[in-house]
Amino acid sequence: MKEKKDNIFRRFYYGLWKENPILFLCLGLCPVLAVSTTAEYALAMGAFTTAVLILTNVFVSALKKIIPNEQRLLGYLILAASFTVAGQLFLKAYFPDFSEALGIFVPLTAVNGVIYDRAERCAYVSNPGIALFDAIGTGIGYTFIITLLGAIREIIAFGTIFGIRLIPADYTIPFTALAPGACIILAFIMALANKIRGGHRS
Amino acid sequence: MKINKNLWFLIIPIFCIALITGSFFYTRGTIKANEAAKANGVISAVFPDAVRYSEATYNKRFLALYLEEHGYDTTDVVVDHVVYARNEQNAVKGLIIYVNCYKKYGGLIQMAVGIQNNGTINGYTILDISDAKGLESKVKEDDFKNQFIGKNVSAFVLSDEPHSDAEIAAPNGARDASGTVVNGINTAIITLEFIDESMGGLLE
Repeated sequence: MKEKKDNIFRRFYYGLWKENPILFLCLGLCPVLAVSTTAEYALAMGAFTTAVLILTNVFVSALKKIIPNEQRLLGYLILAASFTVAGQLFLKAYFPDFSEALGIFVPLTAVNGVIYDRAERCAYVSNPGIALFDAIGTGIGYTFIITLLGAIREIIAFGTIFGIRLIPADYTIPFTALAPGACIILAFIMALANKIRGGHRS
Repeated sequence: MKINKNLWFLIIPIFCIALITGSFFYTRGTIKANEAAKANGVISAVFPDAVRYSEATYNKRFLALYLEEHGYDTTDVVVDHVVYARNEQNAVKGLIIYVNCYKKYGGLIQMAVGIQNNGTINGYTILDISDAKGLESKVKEDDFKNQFIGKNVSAFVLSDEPHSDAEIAAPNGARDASGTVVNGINTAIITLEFIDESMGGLLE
């Protein structure tokens, strides 16, 4: 029992920090760079990805006995795509502004590398409880980093954070709202994270 | 009879189809209502004093030729459709022109331009824009929009230091999108001229 509990917390910690998909695995970077122009959009993208990740991980884990080993990628794809489409419909119905702002990156969540990484590395070989905590940890880690990146970009590019003005508009640098600016800021965050974690990437 | 193990795999697609179908039927009413509200919002934003609207019919090919004659590249800008804004007596007060503008470095801005019969700009609304999130909002802001409203010119141009009605200042960091919006509004002005001419001055 204690071992199971330890395993759950370890998976949560790994997803959150040690195997953070953005900082150390460099997965799902396309939406990270494209959507994180403001903290609000970044948080919405992170929350949406986390929801799809949790559902896919839990269902892959629960259904792993009926997913043939040779067709497991197809199984992940069908589940991830279905949850993404269903989520997209709910987003369009109840959060139309976010649906419009996130645009093409909402349906592209179906092919987000983070989901397949967690399904393959954890969900397919673990029980649903562990898969759930792994997805929650990974989702929070992903959402935190994308929101941090969005907040930094928003402050530098627009002088605001979550729409609240911090810096006068005349002192902003709009370059950071573009993809090259995002790459530079993300590189600094990754370098700092690697310095804190120490050692080499496995 | 023993069922092939792989047949169990069919449960997943069946579950997924049920999930998507259920979500579609559950949300479609709300999505439709959102879209209708957005369309009404667009129309009332660019022509608030009109009470009726009707689709305008015109020859799209002739309009494209007319735009080309006036120096507009019809691969950069396409008039999607035109709506008449009418008053209570059913007289046409102006046009709402839906324009798709292709940006210099790729991307698309879809906009609706409200323009009175005499060529005065009522306003515009951005329907869709493919630009860096945040930067795109600069051409949606009132500071930029207000530069067009109430003006009656033959064409607008971007300028660093505007001195006349026709000159528009681009917001910092959104010069490309601003130029595209200016191009779209100029296209709407030419479209008004074309429709007026092709209707024999009905818009007077």
